[in-house]
Amino acid sequence: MSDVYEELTEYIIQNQRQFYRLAYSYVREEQAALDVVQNAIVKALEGYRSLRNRQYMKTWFYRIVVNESLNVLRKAGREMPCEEEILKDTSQKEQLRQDAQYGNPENVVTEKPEELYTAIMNLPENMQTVIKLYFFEEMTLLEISTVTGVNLSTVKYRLYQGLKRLKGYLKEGVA
Amino acid sequence: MKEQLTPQEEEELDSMMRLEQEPEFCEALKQYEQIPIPDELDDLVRNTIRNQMERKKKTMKKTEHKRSIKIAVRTLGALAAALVLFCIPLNTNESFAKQMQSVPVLGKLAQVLTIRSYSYTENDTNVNVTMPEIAAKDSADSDAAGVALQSAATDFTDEINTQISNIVEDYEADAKARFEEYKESFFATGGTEEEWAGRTCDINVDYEVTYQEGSVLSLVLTTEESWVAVYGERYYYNLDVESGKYITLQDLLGDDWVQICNESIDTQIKERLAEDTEEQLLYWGYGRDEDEYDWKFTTVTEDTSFYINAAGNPVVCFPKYEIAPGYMGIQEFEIVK
Repeated sequence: MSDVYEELTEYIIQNQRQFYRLAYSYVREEQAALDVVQNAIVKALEGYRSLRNRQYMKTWFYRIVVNESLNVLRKAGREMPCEEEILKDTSQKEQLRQDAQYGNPENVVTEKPEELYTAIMNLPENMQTVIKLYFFEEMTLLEISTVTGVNLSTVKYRLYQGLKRLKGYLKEGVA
Repeated sequence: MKEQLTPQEEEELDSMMRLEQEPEFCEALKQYEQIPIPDELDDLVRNTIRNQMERKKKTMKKTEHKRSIKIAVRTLGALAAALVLFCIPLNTNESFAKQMQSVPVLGKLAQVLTIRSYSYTENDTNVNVTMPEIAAKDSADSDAAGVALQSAATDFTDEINTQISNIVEDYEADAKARFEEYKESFFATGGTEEEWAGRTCDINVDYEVTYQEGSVLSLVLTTEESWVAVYGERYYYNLDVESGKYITLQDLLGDDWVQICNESIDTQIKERLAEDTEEQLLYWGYGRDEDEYDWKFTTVTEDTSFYINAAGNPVVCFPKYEIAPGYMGIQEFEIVK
């Protein structure tokens, strides 16, 4: 058994809670999130040879977790258990977003702070991933670029777009 | 659409990236961190890793076996040019009570003798082994040339038989060790004798002759443990006993064998996926797995396993995990000549 392999298993065990949370933030259901984590481990350990440099262990494994999460979402299609809730939520938020974007401050300030979280979770997938990895997983933009497999300027673009949409959820505007 | 920021937007982004200090963001992060972690997560993670490691060990072993078989072919290929007769010394193991058994002559020239067939029970483990040894039918030819050829032929068949015998012995020992380990951890984690009662492990080794025509022989040796379904392992032997050579895919399909196999396998994978309306099947890098990981099926090699079926066609076999996830099992593809 190679060193990289052992390091990888150690890394997975140590950080399992983070992987679970990230998976859960996509699939929003306990059993589905556990499945994501399990599938990610199986794929990672079966394909560990494609991890050529241990420096990339973190981003490499996160990439698998994100891909697996999105796979589950894609497979579940419109049948995700909380889909209805999200849809309802989204239509309201969409209005608020529009207000925020086109300047309708009254609506914006009535937002409760904890709703920022829901707002993040309702962002389009590519913006959501970048924001979660940056703010919750505290990755650098470069790391995010490796995880998502797009170049740095695209990461910045998505982060910018995502944050713009979230502007309305903050009490104080952003300079 | 180009996903690119203008310089002003870049600046704006810089200030936005400091949002994590805002109370709303702290609140959101707190909510994220409060996603409850189910109790079974740790067990699931550790068990999944343990299972994967066991499988990995198996695969590595298998590769070693394949390599040594190939060396045997190279050394003996030249020697064994025109052999006719063989004589195999019986190979017995005194440590276990065994029933000796022999199987009727199968063909005109080659014959497979089951010379070791034994079963015994030890520490909740039931071992059943039916192990083939390969020989050719004795001929009346006993002049000096005949004897010389016979000795070279014995080397060839000895190699194969030793190979088989080593695989079986190693496997038996490993399987027993694995079961012991399992038993140990069962009690170490608070399992009681009552709960254990009745748990046994069957270790089975068997073989199947898939093709037998003239001196050409194809057989598959299988090993399995009853308590874990994942350990099914196969070893393939395709032999021309008369010429003393291993039969290759090239022998069966001609010089274009690589291309023929690759095209056929690629087509068959696509056909299987096309018929699979419920998305039960998954091949790395195909269909819904496309573009995702860089280890899809690309080509057969000299190390690719196969056996010959009753129709005389090679059936290419990929072990679990090689071109598809483990649940797909061993993947077989008949290559029609």
